Amino acid sequence: MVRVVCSIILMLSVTLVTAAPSTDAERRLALARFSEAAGEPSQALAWLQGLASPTANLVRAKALLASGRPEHARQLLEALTRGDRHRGEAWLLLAREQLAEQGREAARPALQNAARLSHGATRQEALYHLADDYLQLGQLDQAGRVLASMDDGYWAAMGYHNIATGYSDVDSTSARSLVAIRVALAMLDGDGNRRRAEALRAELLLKAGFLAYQSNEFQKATGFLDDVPLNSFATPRALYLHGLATFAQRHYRGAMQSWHRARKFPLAFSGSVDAWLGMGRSYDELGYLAQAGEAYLAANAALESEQVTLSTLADEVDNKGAYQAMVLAARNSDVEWFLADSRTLTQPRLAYLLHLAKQPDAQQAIARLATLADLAQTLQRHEHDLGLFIETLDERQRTSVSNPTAEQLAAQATRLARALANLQGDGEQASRTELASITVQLSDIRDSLDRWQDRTTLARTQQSRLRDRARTLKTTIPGLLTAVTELQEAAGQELDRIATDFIEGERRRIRLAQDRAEQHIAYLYEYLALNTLERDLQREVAE
Amino acid sequence: MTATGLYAPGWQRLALASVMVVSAWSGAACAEALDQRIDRLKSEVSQLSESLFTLEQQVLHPADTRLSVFLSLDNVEALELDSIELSIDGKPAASYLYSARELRSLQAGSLQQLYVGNVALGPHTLSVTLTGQGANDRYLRRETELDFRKRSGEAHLELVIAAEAPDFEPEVLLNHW
Repeated sequence: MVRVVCSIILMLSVTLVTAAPSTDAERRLALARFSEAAGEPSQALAWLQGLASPTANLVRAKALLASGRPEHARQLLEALTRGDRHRGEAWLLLAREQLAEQGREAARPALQNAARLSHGATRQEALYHLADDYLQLGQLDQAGRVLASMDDGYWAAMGYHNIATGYSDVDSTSARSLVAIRVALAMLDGDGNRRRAEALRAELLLKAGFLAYQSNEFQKATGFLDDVPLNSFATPRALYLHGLATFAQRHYRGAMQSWHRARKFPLAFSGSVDAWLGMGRSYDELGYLAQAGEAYLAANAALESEQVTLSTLADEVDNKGAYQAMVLAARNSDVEWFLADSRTLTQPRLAYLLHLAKQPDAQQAIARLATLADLAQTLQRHEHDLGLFIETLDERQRTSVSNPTAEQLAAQATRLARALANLQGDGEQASRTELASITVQLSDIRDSLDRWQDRTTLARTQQSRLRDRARTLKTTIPGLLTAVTELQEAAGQELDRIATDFIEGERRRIRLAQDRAEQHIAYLYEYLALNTLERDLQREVAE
Repeated sequence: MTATGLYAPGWQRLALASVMVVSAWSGAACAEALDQRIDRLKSEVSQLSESLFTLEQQVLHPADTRLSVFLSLDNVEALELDSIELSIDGKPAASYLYSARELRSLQAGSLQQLYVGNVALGPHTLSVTLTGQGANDRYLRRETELDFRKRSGEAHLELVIAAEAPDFEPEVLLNHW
């Protein structure tokens, strides 16, 4: 319980302000909101104890959802939907749960209610999901109508990105898709989250470049692809496509420049493998057959080396498990943290991890293990903390300050108060201010000592109660840790299965590219051999 | 192609398809069951954390010497707070690096418990160092010293960061409850 301290003396020119939350309940709610935003749902729930306002219940529901208690959260959210406040947010949270557990059809009414009753980001997210629902049903016009009612920002941009994909699936030309992407790019200006907007912008430009290339609008394609930033996840693919569009305009050297840059990325990235092969093809088109052969041989060597990398990765997954081999090992790099962005795009292990994590089931499997690792860490920390609390409380019980010491201190305080009284009235203004300050401090000390007996008795009872509570809590931890270990094993096996399939798929992809490189080499050698034969024959005929 | 492939007899293809469907279903069902077990465990650990948080507040900080320092933002849209460091009487007490979500929450009026600890009765000095991006994306670092007196009983101090127009210069103010 927060007690308002009404008379703290501020010594310097400290300005006092009245903060927005002014009552104990308001402050605890504000503290809970921060804890929830900081990813500390347990703390949020602790702050919310005893609060029952609609806002408190909304924060409580969010914290319960984050701490694995969806049933309780659902009850609170359903109650909120019947009330006057936060109805839209409650409907959206319910819709998210239904989308995850029961699918689109079940979530539709909740989404419609969320869109109808909310505003701002909540409404935009609900409308995005509704538009996506129409897209999944193939009702593109309906989806377009929903998107037209949205405000600019991230959700609208994502919606137009999705509808562009929808148009490209059914249209024979890319016109409608490209218009949708242009709208999406314009909508992104309204997104306040800069990093998120940049990532989506790169994806949109890549998609636009691809659609324009597919429609043989090569200049338009390079125009879009030129704007893809060089440090995005889409960069290798954009560089490869840029090379293709330039190649199609018969600018072979330009194409080679793009592919040369794409080759610098790990082969895990889509576009990098094709760029290696594209280099050979460009030399071939330019008539430099020997260089073309060398480029294909270099591609073959790179692909061979990648097979070794994948084989090592597969062995590590077998021996250590996928979580250790791919997720934790990628994290434990020696590269300085400030190089993290470029590291992400240049290290094969991280590149494969990113590629793997694009699969929803792999993402879930990794998230499961990360959650369990967090839980294990939390439990170990709690066990350590509780041990310390028990020790501290035992120590306090043993060494509690005896009453004679308190009495001595009280006598000393009385003596000091007398001495202080003798000094009062003398001296200058500055000294008087200082004396007043000492008087306050002494008065506090005496007040504290006056209540000593009562406080020590109360403290002993409280300490004994707290120690029992700490011991009870500590006994629950070993059981929970065992449960975590069991679940880690099961979740690890699931991730191992997904990672093994993924690595096998990657090995097939690299093998296929290697076959193509070898075919090109064979074709070139055959062509060169035939040319030599033909030249020899012509020389013999001439002689 | 083997007999289990495309040209296998009808019943074998049916059996193969059934096995594939069953294994896919059992994989999904297994993952779902795993998620439910993890959720249950997460819930138990969360309840334990909640109890421990309450216990910690009672065990570590005797009410008479306890000092809690909170932080809030007062209409600060022109300041993207990166981090804050707090020292009490020259000794580092707390530091925090803010995520975008936490910052948005503070901007929407939430309150952070920055420090809970014990200090003796009498005068003390809080030193606050904040870093962030101010108006026009300029990087800024500001240091402020605030004096207060700890009296008997719990003390709650709130650091309020304000940056008002026209210069949006951030200022740390002290509010006591």
